[in-house]
Amino acid sequence: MNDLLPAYERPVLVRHARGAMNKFSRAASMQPATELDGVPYDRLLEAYGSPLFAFSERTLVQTYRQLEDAFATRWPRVRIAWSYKTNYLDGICRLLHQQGAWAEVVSGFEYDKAVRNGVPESRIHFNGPAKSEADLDKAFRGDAIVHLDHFDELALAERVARRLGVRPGVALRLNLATDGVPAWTRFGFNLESGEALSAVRRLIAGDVLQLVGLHCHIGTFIPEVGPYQQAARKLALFANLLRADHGITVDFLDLGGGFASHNTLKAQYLPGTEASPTFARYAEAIVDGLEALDVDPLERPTLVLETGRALVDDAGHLVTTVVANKRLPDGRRALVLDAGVNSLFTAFWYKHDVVPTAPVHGIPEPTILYGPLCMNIDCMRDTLQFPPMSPGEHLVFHHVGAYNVTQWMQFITYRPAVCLVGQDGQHALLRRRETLDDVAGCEELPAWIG
Amino acid sequence: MDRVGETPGTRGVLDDIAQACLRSYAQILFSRSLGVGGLLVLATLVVPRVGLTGMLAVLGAWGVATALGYDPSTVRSGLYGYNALLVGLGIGALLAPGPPMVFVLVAAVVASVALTAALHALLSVHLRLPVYTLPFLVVFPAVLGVIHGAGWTASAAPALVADVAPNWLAPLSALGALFFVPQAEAGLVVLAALVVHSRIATVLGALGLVVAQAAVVLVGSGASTDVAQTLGFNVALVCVGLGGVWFVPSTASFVVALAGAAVAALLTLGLAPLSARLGVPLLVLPFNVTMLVGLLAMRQRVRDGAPKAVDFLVGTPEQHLHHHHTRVARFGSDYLQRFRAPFHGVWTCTQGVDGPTTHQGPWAQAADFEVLGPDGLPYAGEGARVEDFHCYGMPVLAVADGTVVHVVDGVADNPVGAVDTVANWGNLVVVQHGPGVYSLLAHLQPGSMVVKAGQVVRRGEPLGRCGSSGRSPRPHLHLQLQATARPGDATIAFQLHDVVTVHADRQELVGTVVPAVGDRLRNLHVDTSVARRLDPVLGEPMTFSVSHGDHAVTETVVPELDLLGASWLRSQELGAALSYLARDGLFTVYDVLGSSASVLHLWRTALSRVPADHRDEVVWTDHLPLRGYLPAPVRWLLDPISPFLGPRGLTMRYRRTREGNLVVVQGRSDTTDRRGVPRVQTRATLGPEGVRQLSVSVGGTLRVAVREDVDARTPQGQSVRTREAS
Repeated sequence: MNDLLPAYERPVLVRHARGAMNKFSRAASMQPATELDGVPYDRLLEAYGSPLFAFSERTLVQTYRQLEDAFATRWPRVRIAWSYKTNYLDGICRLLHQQGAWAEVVSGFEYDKAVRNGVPESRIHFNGPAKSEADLDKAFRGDAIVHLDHFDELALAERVARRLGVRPGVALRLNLATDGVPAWTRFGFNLESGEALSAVRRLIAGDVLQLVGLHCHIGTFIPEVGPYQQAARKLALFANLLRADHGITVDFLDLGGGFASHNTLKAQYLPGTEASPTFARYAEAIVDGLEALDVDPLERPTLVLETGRALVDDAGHLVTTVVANKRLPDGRRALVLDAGVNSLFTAFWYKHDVVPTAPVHGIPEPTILYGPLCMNIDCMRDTLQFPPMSPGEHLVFHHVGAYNVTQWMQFITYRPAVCLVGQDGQHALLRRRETLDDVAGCEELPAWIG
Repeated sequence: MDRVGETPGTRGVLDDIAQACLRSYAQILFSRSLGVGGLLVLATLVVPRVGLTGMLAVLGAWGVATALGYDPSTVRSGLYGYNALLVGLGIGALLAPGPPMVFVLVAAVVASVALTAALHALLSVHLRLPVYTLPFLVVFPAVLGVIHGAGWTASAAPALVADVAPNWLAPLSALGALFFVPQAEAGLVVLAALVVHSRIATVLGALGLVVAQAAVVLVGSGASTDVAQTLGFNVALVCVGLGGVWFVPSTASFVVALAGAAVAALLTLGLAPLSARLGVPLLVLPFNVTMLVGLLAMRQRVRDGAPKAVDFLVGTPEQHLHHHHTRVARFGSDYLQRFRAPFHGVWTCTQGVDGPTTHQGPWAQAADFEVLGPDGLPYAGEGARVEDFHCYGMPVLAVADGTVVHVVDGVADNPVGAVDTVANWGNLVVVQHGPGVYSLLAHLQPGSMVVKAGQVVRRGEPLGRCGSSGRSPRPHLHLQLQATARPGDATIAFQLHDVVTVHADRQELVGTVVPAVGDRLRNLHVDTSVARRLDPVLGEPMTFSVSHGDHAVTETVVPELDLLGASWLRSQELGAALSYLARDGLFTVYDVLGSSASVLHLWRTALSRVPADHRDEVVWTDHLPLRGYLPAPVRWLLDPISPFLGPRGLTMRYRRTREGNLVVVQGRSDTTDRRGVPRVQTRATLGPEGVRQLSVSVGGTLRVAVREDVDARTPQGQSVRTREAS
């Protein structure tokens, strides 16, 4: 190891930051994370190389159970539809389907992935603003639940259904205003303007599709429960209106996703582990809003949740290796890591919780974490108090299970391997590290270049 | 009697007559089988004059009942015919053909039918008792009186006079004497009919004859041949009636039958001198008296068990036995109501029946429930406040339909660790579910009650929220069943029904569960799309191609509702019928009647019970009556001893899986053959339009039924018919 260290480093003055103003400061008490569910990170790195995404089956299953219990003890019928785009690794999806999760997909590709994972097509919620005619054809043949996003799609869906001679059940995606959350008006039919009601009337007039559900998704990473209460209430009142005026009783109300995980947004002051509401609080708020439903307690619609991030974020960890130490001109220390924002896409959004994998010594000082890319944007973590690290030592980023292994990109480096640590301490690959053949395999050479 | 054995068939008049007449014969042996009736006709024809008069009498009875406009199905059951039959046989035995005989026969038949109708109205409606042969006991002595009074020569039928049966044939003669043909040959045919009807009944009848013979030996030479014969058939009938017809055959029912036999013997021997002095034969009077008294006496028991009265569809003793055992194995026997879990989601039993802390003494039959997190703890955070507990504030539901009779609110929640021993039940709700069946849900959150006393609630309706009031050191839900209404009265047997027990590796639907500490329970969580597949559309025919050996037969099955709201699948070609219920997320077959070739027998075996739970991995156990899956000779050999063998159902383990969009139900019996292969294996596939294929393998013989009216290639397995229509 010592061979790697520079022979001499010019001394710098470091201001003692022990006991910083922030009462949640981790600097003084930074504890290393040496293992994942009993398996040392070093062993995982030996087996699969660095950098490495490592998922905890135990955390995933326990988080699923917490979510399910929180809602199922409060509402008679609850369905969790796993949001594929959050993480569509087969292993992760299948673990969740084994727990009883349905699938929520937003493209033909995700649809096929869900089918490949053994999800019955009638247990797929098909969302998204850009379904093709072929997508709708496939979904209607398979008896999947299509969520309509706009009038053009409604018309297309009717054409496809008429051609197939079927009467499929569909849901309407709505957008609505809640206090404190900017409305996502680009998806679905607007509730307040009356567009949603027009869509219902249009659907009834078409007499081809059956309205079986209402869906809204108020946003993403919403660390408050109030907006959910409002959204649930608005959906419930709209469902009451449909019953009273049009005799339509929907099978399900879909509150979408958007629950905050334990990450901390860049603009957030309190750490996510403290600020994010528990599933129980979200459940309490949503069920409270649904109490506005004017239906017999025994015939309450199924409550559908499309939770993605809050289910899987905590289960994922990214283990990286320090490539180099640097001293920036302003005196800050910088670490160059072997994993960058091409792998950890969420580094753009969050102040990720990151700790060393071995006990640390030395005085923490302001440190910025960079990735390996030769790009200015490749900053893994803004400045934080961090103990001194040597090249070859490892760091682990927590709460990285959501959106990274789907939104990552092959850019400059290969995408890293992903492994799973099982509930009994066993571990295995979920996805191997990319190779040149994987990347270049799709390429074609025009004959004249040859 | 009952109309269960009937299945739709041709409704021609000749068919009606044949059914009414043959069943009239069969009724005398408590049977509804046409075959048994036919054998008995043969038995009576051993003395042609007697047999022919009897036939004239049942034909006449059919004519009278039909002319009077009685309910055709009751006429077909033979109810109005069997008393007339006995009267007719008796007249045939006494009078030679001629005008007096015709006059007496016509009058007696009319009287028998009218008397049967009148007594049936009185007895069955007010006392729930059968008519038996009371009309015969009134009419026939009157006929005798007329014959004696008018001085018509009572010329016994030729065969009757000559008959001097050797002693060892006496029991057979007694059987024949029941039909006024006291010949050993006739008795033999009657015995054959009895064996065809029921092997258990045969054993019981034989037991009766032994008792009768023993009684004759006891009394010594005091009993004439007449009295011995009367004694024989009376005692035998009592044994069959008590031992297998009105009670489920068992050791206990045999004891009751023997007791009844002793009573009947006492009555016969005791009344014989009187009857001799009056010149009126005893006939079947001892049987009628013993049965009516016995049934009424047995109904005064507080608990209907050992022997269990037949309170369901009436059939043969074998059917009673297997139906009862199957019913107990499938559904338990303590309550008429089905109690579901009083909560949403998965809760864990933290104190069961005979629990160590409070479920003792008069309150032993109770269970406490809490919600445990994935870490196994009932709380999150510190667990210092009631709000930290997962179960706190969760909705508490009615376990079954009923009326709220008692609500207590306003008792404060205790701090964690403290108990309130004054208002020890805390806030509570008592719901009455039926006469003598109440449920108590206790320790609820103050101010959370959403029902009032007197309010009618349905199963699953919220009553209040889980709290920690009363003797409750930490939030939990206490449930008990009581026979009385006051909160905190003594408990009665604790059971939950049709709940899902959650295990690490499986979700299991359990018919009847008494939760133990650590058991994780939830209610069925119905997936409506699965439930729809399990609920046949009423009136929509389903056509199956059913394999029979190497060829296939087309059979059409139509789901129907009967007058009483029970649902049936009826086979159009074979007349078989399957009784089922599709409700609350459970598809349950109760019974299947008729031809064993029908697809409905495959349906019953493959889809005996299916939960429409939202988890595809759900497994469950069900019990089928073993009898139908045994070869006939084995079945008949086992029948006589089956009442003493205890429950011998076929335990089937089922699981539900998916193959793409198909729901697949697979079953296998616990019992295996010598090579370890399950004796019965089943597989059913259900598409969006319902059942697509049924495969049942019994002892290696595979039978398959495939839906013919569904085009599996069209989207959503659309029915061909609908597609053509659109």
